[in-house]
Amino acid sequence: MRLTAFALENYGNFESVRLSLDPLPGHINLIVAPNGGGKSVLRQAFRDLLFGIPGQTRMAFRFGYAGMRLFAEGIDGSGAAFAIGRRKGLGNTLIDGAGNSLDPRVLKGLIGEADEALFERLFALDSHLLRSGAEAMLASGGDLAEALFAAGSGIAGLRRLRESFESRRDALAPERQTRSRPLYQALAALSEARAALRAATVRPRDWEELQSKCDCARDRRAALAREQAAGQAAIARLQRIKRVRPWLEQWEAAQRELAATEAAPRLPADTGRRWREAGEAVRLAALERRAAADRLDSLLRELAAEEPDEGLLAAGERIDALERARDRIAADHRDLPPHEAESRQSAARLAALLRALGAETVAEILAIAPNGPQVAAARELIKRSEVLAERLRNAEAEAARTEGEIAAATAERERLGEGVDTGDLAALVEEACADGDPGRRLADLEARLAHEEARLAAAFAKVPLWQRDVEALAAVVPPTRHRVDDAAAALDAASGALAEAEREIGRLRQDREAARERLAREREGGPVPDAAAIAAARRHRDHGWALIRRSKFEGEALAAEIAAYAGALGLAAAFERALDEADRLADRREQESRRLARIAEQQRILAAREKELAAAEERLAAAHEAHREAAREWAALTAGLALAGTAEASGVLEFLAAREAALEARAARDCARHAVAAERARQEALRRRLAGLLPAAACPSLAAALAAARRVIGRCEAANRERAQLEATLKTLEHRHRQALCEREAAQRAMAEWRREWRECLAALKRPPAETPAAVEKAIALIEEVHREHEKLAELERRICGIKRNIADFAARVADVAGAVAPDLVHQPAEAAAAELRRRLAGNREIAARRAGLRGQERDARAKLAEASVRHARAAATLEALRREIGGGCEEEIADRIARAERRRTAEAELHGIEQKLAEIGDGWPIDGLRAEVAAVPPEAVDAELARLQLEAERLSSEREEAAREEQRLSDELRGIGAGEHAVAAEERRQAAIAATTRISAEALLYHAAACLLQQAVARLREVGDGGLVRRIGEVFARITGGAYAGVAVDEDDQGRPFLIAIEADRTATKRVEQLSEGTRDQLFMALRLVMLEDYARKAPALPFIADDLLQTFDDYGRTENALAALADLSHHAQVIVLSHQRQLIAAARALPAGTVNVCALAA
Amino acid sequence: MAEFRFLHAADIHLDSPMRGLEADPDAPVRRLREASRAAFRNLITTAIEEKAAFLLIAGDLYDGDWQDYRTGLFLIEQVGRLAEAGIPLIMVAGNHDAASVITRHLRLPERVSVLPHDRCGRIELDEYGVAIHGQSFATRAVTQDLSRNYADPVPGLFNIGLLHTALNGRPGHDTYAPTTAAALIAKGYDYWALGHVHARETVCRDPWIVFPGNLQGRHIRESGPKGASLVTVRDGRVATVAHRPLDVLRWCPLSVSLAGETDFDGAMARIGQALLELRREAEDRPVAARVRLFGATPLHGELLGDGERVRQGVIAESRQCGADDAIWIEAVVVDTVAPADLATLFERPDVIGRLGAVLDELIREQGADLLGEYPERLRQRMSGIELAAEHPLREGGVALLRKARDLVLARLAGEI
Repeated sequence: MRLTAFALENYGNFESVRLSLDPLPGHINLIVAPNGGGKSVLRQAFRDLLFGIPGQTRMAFRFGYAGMRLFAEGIDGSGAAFAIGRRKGLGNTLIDGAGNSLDPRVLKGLIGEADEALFERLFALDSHLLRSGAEAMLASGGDLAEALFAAGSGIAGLRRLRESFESRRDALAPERQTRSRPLYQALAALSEARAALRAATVRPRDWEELQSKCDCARDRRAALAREQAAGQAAIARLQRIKRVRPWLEQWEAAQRELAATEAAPRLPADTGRRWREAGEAVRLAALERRAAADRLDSLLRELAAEEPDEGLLAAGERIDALERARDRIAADHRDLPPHEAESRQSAARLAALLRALGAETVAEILAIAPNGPQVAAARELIKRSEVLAERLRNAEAEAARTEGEIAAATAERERLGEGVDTGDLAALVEEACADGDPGRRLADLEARLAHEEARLAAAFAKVPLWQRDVEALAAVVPPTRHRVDDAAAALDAASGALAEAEREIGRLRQDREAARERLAREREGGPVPDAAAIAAARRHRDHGWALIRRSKFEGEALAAEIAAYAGALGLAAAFERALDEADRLADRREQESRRLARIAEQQRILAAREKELAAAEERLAAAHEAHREAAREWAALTAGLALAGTAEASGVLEFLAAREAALEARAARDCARHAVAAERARQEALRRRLAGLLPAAACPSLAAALAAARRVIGRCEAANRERAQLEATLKTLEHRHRQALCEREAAQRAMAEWRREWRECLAALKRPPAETPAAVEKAIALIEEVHREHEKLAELERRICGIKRNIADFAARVADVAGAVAPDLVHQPAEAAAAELRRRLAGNREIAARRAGLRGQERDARAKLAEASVRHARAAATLEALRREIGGGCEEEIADRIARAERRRTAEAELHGIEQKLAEIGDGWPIDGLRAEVAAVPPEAVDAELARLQLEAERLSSEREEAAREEQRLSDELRGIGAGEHAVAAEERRQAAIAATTRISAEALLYHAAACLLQQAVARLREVGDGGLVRRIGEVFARITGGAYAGVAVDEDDQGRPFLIAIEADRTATKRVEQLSEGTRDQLFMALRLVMLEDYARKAPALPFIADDLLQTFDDYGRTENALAALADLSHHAQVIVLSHQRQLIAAARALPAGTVNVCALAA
Repeated sequence: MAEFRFLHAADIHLDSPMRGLEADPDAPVRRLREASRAAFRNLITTAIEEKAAFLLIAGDLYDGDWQDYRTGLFLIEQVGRLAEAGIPLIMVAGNHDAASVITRHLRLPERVSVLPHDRCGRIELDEYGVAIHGQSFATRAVTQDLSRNYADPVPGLFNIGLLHTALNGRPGHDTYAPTTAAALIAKGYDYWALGHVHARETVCRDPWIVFPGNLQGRHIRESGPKGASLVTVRDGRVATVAHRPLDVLRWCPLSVSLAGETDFDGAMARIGQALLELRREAEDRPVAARVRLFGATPLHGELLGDGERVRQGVIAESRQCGADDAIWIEAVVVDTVAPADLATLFERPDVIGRLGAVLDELIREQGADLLGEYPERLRQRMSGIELAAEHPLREGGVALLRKARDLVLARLAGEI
């Protein structure tokens, strides 16, 4: 599409502007405006024209939404003229040149599938995007594919995207092991958990061994404990004997002492102490009574020495009052002069205020009270005057505004006309889409059919041992699974039994050989001396002994027999040898008997093995026969399947399973076919019904018919919504307009009333009739100040009179008191006389206080004297009563009785104490029993026996402790195993680590796959940069740089990746992208973008290309001209509109052929 | 006795771990760790509270390769409770038990009977008029039909067959001790107490042939309520068979549609709502959820491109569903698709359209070769870990590349 004119109404800062544009190929449109002159608004307006004005647009800041319009006129790809426009609103906002609603398909015919995002990224290019594209090109080292992708899509981050995938992958699971990464952390956790599981597992054999050891240790400790208890009992008995023996001796002595004191009197134990205490109490009471009498005499003498002046004390309150008034009188003397000065100044200020108000006397002004009704009324009227004026202004403005809006809304409603009912069409669309989008549904069903076809092919391909088609496969009548299972199980069982029998044979043969080897080893020990050999040796020994006995002890001559027996060895030596031989043979016989037992056992085992082997060989033969039978049955069973090749059991089972899967896939395929056919029929019926409600041409297919129906419904619904909205708006506006008119009338009435009240107010205040509210407000302030100043002056005068009166009253009161109690002070100054009176009063008050204290002490002393006398009498009575209790008499008689009673009591107490001790240490035995036990053991035997028993006890204690420690250790070990980390916990941790590893690896693989895909895709995109495209980029680049560069070419890096290089003017030197200056890189990217736009325009309808201040980075004047020329070339493929604030571009444009550049100066 | 009840459980797999849950510092680990123990405690408690006449376990008390003896000690402790209540426990060894070292060393208390493995054993409980027939697994892989050895029913008694079998095959289970429902029916027993298949199933009602399923789900494929069957026998016939959920942690797959959602926070709100609903359905049990997001949404690229953010977002939503341990997220699977306008990118006449076409060409032509050596290196690092079939390192890479293509285009669409 190419535009011939573009108009904006009430849009942005433009109330109404119309731009004439040149649509001709080879021509460009240069729109020049200063910064802030509306270039951005214009660019936004192009976007809004094509894709709609957003609901919350910033372009209403000046004129609001009402009346916002964009219009464009132009020619389409076939050269036909069009006029489109865009209004602000909801639904379809596309309009024609007259403002009428326009079918959106008109626009689609002009711009194809291009959307807003594509426009922003490809057809609008500003200096920022130009610069970021150049930077991306630099970052990729001029990588051809990435540069083309950035220029052709507006997305400069292909490499960044790939790197982000790689980065995420490496953050999870880099190829190189890194402990901080989650995958390796999870693997480390897995390894730890495995180790923990091994450590935590308690194997049954270990547990049983430990448990057994623990039981043994417990039994041993219990046995030792019993033995130790018996030893302890014996020790306790001996210790008791040793312990009680001396106490029993003391007990007998105490019995004797008690018998000696039997005649003494029985007196209480404390009698002696009580007798001594009673005598001491009588002595102390007498001393106390004498001290109290002395204290009373002393107090009576002190009282006689203290006498105060009673007259002065009687005038005490009046003197205190004078003292309190003295400070206040001193302050009055200080305050009097400043008060008199302030009074004079206030009088002067009052006179000045009267002059300002034009009054001659204060009374004239004081007649008007500041808080009086006249002043309050005046203030109220002044405040109301401002409110009323504002109200009137607002009411007039609202009335005017609502009137204008009503007119606009009415015009819009008339334009919309009446509504259309689309209920039938909507019901049909709903029916068609009740199960989702029909196209998608059909596509899903077709995809499912294709999937089922593929699944059938795959399932059929998996059928082993089959070379015919699916139908033949279906025709096969296989044996039941039960039969196959049974036959297979039988064959399997027979094979298993055969293998087991063969294994058993092998094992038994090994056992037999092992038994033979063990027997042979036992037999290697040599022959065993039999019983006869031993008997012979013993007989030989006994014969020797008989010869010795007979020759040595019985005196027989046996030389010949001895020679025969001993030969040259001698009888003694021969006998010793015979003795040794007999013993050796006997010992050997005993050792060999054990070996013989082992040989017999091995022979028994060998025989058993032979027997087992024979039985096993019989079983093997039977197993062979059973296996042959099972194999025959299996062959008969599988013959009917007509399989290609030999059918093993697993193969047939696999064949049957695969056959079932293939037939199931075949059934699913048939079902999918039926579903597709049914859906196609349903959709055709729906299409026919829709064609009855729509133009026939709009319904070539159900999808087209549904789209057409939706468009019709959408249009009608949008129009209805818009109409309803306008009606509601209109009602609101009319209501607001009526309210505004009422408000204006009310405001005018209120203003007239106010004027009348103002005139009355001025008269009341005696102000000039024409005085303004501001002047009146000022006068009221002055009146208030006169009132305040007058009150202040009166107050000062009252205070001066009061001070003078206070000073005179004080002098009179001092003179009166002095005359009564201190005539010598009458003629002194009043303040000095008052001070002296106060001092004298204080001295007399101190004397009176001391006298009162002495009176109290005198009363206390008299009371204490009386109490001491009473206590003395009581002590004497107590002493006499105790004397009678002891038996009376003199002091010596009483002391003798007390001493004898004490001795008897001591003997009884000692005997009692000994008996208690014996009860305590005698383990509860009676004294007679203890005496009998002690008598049974001699004293000298006790210590030796005790020492022996204690040594034994120590040994047992040590062994018991050792056993307890062992038991404790084993119990702890057992408990530790029970309480330690359970294997279950370790296994859970292992499972958790496996789960984490699985998840993280899957996630890392996804990022890896994305990065790989993108990398490979970029490599393939390089093919886009074929020779023609690169040559064209080079031409445009050469044109923009004015021949400073002859073009571009493609080179390859070490990894075979192509990248762009710039060819310098000499056509030999080249530069990589990073070697180009910043501006030249911008120009290269611009060349890329222009060529990609050409490429786009060849495949789809192109939009106008908006270049917004694109050339401002081109500091070379010549290259600016060249860039304009390149843009003019682009305009053969797409209309070019250049926006710029640079007026010098106009001069640059003049360098192009006349008429190439259509210049528009934009003014808001 | 006119009426009695018994409990039928199977596949306890004591101390078998939860699989697929990542470590979560906020999760109460103890609860997770002891789930199978807690479920077993519940089984014993239920038997006692329901005054069951006896408890049947149809094999697989342990995991076969599990060696920790404390598991056995725990079993003895719990079975001791049962013995105190006077309830006999009769069981057969399953394939896992046959392979277990714990089985060989553990001395079981009185009133616990393990039926023999070299022949079909029989236990008669005169008090209830019941005969229980059963044979244990001798080895891990028993491929013979053990039920053939089972004796004929004892006339006049209520006959129960205790058998560890996969019948004629069940998905995800080895076909051990194969047999058929018809063969079992023909045996003439009143109730077949089966084990080995972890999904609850009533194979037949006349006579009753029941798989109670396992006691506690351990991974996402073992979802839904898990427990045991409480069988009531009245007048010598089965009156009712009721499932008792005894699990303490429930596995739940959760699919959340994000169709049309344009805002990430909005997506999270939808997920939060679905999680709340899930929590309500879980009968106040903690839930381990696999959250699958699907539907056409403009968020597709964002969800694909920042998996960790999505996962953390879902975990944050789960935290708001009641107590801290109400829901644990096992995994978040992004199965969303791009909205239709992503497809229109291919039709554009500029290089964006060309790029989209190139991505599809590359996937079609080169497939997993595009990925280079990185997957193999990861595989080496992760040797010894058994990966799920859908993991990119196992599925071959094509699904991964399609997902990656969507991610690239969605990210570009965000730029455009």
